[in-house]
Amino acid sequence: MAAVVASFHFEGADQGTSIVDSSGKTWSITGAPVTQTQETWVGTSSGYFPGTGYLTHASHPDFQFGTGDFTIRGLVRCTDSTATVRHMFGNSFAAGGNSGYYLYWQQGVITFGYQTADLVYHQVNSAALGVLSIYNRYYIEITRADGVLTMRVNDTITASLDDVSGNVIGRDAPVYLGYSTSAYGSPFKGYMDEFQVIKGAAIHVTFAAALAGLPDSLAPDGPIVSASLQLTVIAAAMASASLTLHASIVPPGILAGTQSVCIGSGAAAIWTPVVRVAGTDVASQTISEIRVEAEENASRISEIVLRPPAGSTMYLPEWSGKTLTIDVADAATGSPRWPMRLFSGVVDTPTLDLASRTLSLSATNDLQGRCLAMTQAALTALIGGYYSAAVFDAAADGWAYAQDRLSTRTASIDISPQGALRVTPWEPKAVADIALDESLIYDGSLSISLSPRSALTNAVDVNFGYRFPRVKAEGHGVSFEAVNMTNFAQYNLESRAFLQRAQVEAAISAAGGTLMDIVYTPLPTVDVPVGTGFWSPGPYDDQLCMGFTATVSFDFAATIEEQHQIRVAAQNSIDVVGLRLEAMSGALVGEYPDLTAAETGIKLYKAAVTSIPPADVAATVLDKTTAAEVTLTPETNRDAANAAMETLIAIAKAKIWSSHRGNTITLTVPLMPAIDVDKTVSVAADGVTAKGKVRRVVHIMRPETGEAYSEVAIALCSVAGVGITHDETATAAPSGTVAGQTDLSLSPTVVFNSGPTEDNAITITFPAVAEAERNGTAIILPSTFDAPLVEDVFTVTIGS
Amino acid sequence: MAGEFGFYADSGLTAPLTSVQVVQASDGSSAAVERVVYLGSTLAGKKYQAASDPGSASIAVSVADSATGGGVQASHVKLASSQAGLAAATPSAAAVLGTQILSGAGNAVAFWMRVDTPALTAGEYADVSFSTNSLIELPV
Repeated sequence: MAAVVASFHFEGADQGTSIVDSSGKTWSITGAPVTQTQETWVGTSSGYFPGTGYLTHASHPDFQFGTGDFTIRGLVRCTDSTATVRHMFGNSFAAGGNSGYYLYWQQGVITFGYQTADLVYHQVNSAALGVLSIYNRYYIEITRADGVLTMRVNDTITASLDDVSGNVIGRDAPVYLGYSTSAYGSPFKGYMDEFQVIKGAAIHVTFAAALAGLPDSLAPDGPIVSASLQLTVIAAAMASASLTLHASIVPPGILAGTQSVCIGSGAAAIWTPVVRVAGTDVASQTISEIRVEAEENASRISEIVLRPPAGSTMYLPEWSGKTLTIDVADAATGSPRWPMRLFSGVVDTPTLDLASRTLSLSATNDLQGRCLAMTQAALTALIGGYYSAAVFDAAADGWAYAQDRLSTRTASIDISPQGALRVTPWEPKAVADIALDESLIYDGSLSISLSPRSALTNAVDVNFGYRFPRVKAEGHGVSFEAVNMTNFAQYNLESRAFLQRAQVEAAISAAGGTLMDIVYTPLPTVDVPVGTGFWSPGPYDDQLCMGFTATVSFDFAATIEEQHQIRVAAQNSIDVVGLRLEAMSGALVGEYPDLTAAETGIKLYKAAVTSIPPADVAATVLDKTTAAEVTLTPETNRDAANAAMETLIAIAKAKIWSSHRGNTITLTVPLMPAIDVDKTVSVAADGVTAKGKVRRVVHIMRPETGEAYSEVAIALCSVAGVGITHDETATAAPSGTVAGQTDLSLSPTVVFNSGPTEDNAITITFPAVAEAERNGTAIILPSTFDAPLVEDVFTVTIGS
Repeated sequence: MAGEFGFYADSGLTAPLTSVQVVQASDGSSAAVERVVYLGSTLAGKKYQAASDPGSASIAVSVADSATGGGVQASHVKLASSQAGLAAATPSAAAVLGTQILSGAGNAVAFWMRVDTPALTAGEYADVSFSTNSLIELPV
């Protein structure tokens, strides 16, 4: 492999004695060749040989070129103008054909040579350039390439030998820089820089390149390629989440409501509240009353009063937003067990009473805020129901959106004591979750309040107006005969004019119609006797006619108005309490691009003026006015109108049911955590038998007095009595009008002034489009829907 | 700040959860309790991926029991990515929630748990927990 086997850049201090071979070889120095800075060609210094010193390297294969290519190159300025041979580089040349080589300067001529075994000298020199000056620097380059020995001085080939192929150049003997052997000359006197020996390759570079500095290694044979790879390290935060499952395993009676930690069995119950603020148990600080209130469609709220330890420091504002959980637990063993959650939420309002040194905390589970943070998609999935942007505010936020959807359902929403959002149907379960009887209900606490008749709604009239456009087409048939073969001769004798076909079409167009098709009765194609002569066909007869039959279309847009009069009613309730009517209304207008432009587009298309079909076009049917539906925007088309009506019907049904569940049973029982607004509770006490869904519950604990009780309000839907079935008509939008056809009652008239003194004009008059076809009166569309009610168990037996 | 990433009681990520409470009858008679929990972050412009192989490995919520052999056990819990999936879920198996969770309320990922304990001594048990695999928080 070719390589730079010696490379001297002569970089060093002025008069420095350290001369380095960058190829890594170590040369011995004889005499005083130095680096110096007075005359520099490349870098900051160059070499100076005083004529008495030189460098020596022991015999090395790198300098024995054999028969291969090589390069010896460098920058030199010899300062000896005498006949003295000044060796610049040599391989211990000695006569005898041993192939030792030499490179020397003598009287301005540079010579490189060697002697082969046949004692023939093979030399190249710079004589072609004349006498080289001792004041100039020269770039010398000796190369053997493919058997041709060449000398270049400052890029000029001064000599070449092409007979050196196969000659061994270089011998197993020391090499000298600045010398050869004493018998054949003297050490170099002068300056030297960028001196290199390359074995294995003939490398030519320019003088300018040499002045830029020669590389210490050869360029590879192939293209230089490289690749880079950016390492990007992202120092990413680690994330994880953990959640503990707190499972309270409690006696089954507590879950069923048949027992409570607050109900003693044989002895008074021993219970304790477990109150945690931001995870810290503060039950020991609670005084007065702990109150938890839950109600349908409302946030669960709680109020507690704490008396912080004397001397404690607090920062009031930071109490807002702290989590608050309240459990009630059995304390019979001295430690809380079987805790049942009553409340999970956050502190909303901390109030400090400095006089009593108490801190009152009002907390909420923020039902509205929870819904506000949810997407419409999440709320839709949770609540379901019906929705229409034509009925509700499309920009409604989470809570308003939730309420909109809930208004179409017979259900309520709340957040459980454990913090889960839930929707519970109003209809009680077939089997009550909790059964309350006299053994549990506080004496005298059971009361009934009935919904007054005035609060009932058993019918809702929903008026929904839907206005939208349709396109229509009147298909008129026009026939006219100016002349026939019976009166043809007389017609001509009277010098009457024949109809021009162009006239006919222009007359139709002038009347505003679109010609759909026309058949002309042509003039005779043979001579016809007229009087004493003949009428003969002419060259322009194809532009004339004796009559025509045409179909003409008149296209226009029409506005349709539907008035849906929908009654949603619970007839059985009406039968009992009489009609209690409410009204609701809604409207939607179908949006369509410019109707005038649409009419024009249809006309141009039917007249074949444009091949671009309009979005909507009515077919032209002879003697009929034909209507076609148009493509309205998705927000205002028939589907949107149907969705709006279905939403209104659902709202009406919910209104009716809601008004009928205003009956309430209230009672008080020992605190039962199992009672909640998602439960169905049955009551059998004081002659009252009822089963309904809990509408409201308030749990109250007074640790200081030992009181713990729940005030329960149960909603009952009752009007006609248990066993009465209130049928339901499925919620579906009533049918609207359809685009149909009507008969045309009037026909067009044709007047042709064919007389010899008349203007020969033809006038076709079409009947005007009836106003009723364009903007008809509102179409009343009545429909009825049965609203469902489920009668709850609710009977009262008056005791003796 | 990975602290905003965690379990929440709601899809709007307003109610962070560190524990889930369920109540079961000591005779094993009560119905299973099902609960939905949301996993997400309230930070803006973040995404969360499994640290083992971001973007490829799944994010999973797994069940662990720190006191095996008694009380409430991991086998009493089923996890699934949907409520409908609970029936077929393998008890104590992890719920796989995809390879990435974007931050923000609208991107919270829900998973369901079903707790159904057999007859157990009445008391409070807190040895079962749920946790995600190690995740990294990256900018979107």
